[in-house]
Amino acid sequence: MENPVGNIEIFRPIMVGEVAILSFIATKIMFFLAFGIFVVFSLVLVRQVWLMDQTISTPLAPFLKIMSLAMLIVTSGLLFLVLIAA
Amino acid sequence: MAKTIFDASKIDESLREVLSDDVPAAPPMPVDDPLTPNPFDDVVSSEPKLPSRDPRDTDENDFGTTNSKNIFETRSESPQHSSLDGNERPKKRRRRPSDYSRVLSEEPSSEGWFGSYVSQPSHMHFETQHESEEILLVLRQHPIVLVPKLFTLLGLALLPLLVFPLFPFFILIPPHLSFFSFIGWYVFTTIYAIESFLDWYYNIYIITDERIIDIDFFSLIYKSVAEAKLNKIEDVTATTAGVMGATLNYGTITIQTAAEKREFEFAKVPRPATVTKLLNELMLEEEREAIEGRVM
Repeated sequence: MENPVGNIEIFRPIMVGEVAILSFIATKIMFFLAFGIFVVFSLVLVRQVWLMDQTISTPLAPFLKIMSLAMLIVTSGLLFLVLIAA
Repeated sequence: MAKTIFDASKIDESLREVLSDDVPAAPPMPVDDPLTPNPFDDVVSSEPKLPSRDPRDTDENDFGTTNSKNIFETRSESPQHSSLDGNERPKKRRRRPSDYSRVLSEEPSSEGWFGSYVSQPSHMHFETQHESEEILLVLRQHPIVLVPKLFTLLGLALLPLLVFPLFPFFILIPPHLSFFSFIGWYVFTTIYAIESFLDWYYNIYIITDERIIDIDFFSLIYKSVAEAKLNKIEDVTATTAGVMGATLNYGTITIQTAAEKREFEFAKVPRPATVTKLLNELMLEEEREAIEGRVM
């Protein structure tokens, strides 16, 4: 008897090897996204610390600027390492 | 029917006669210009000079009332009133905040690194500050508001060590990436710590000798700056609530204004009664300035 819904090849059980490959790709994408978000956050942090220093200048502002730049360097380095490792 | 006819030329002539004979010419009306000499200044300068009075010597009950002695001293001390000739114009001197504010005269100037109550900070200035404008008080929320975030941070820092061994989902992650997941977690924790600190540090309430400013800074992507001149303030309410508020002396100050932003809320700031007192002193000084026409 012919299948009324046509080709249902897509619903066949996925092989174990394919699962592993898909899982690996998904994990890599997840890591890229996570560390990419950290880098974007660090960029926003640097920009906002500079903007807030213009809005109100405080004695702590130079240290906050250094900290935000350090954060940007660290997160960018981590993203680079993840790209290499993955 | 009676008919009354007014001869305007006769009335005009009779008025001229009366004015020329009996009534001296009226002095020119004082112009509402701070640089124009006030005719009453001569009366003030001819008064015997009152003994100088330290503004800090004000009585407890004297707070909030116009100190007439100080006003006379200010005027009689200014040399332009006594040596006024045709070309010189008097300049009304603006008093320093510590001269009229008892709160400020009792508070030492501070640096303002981390404090939530920074009086007359020497190393702070803001974007729209005028040249002659002076920051009198910088307020942040009381540091006690950071305690819940500190506990959250502690939990986030200890989570991988306590919970992950019980739920080992690290086995789902490829071995060479498990190190990065661990590092990523602590980067996230660090980001949360920085965001929490900046959220507290840059949420600032500023009181200057001209206006109040409310700077809001949320989640790194939202910034709001609202301000109102002191003469626009209509009502100031200080509220201290809760056991912690009463114990640590912090509360919320609500300021009703006639400015575009109708209500300013200084949330959970330390010493709300002192801040309210200072605002009242500044508002009274603004009224005095408006009456006396002091602009400098």
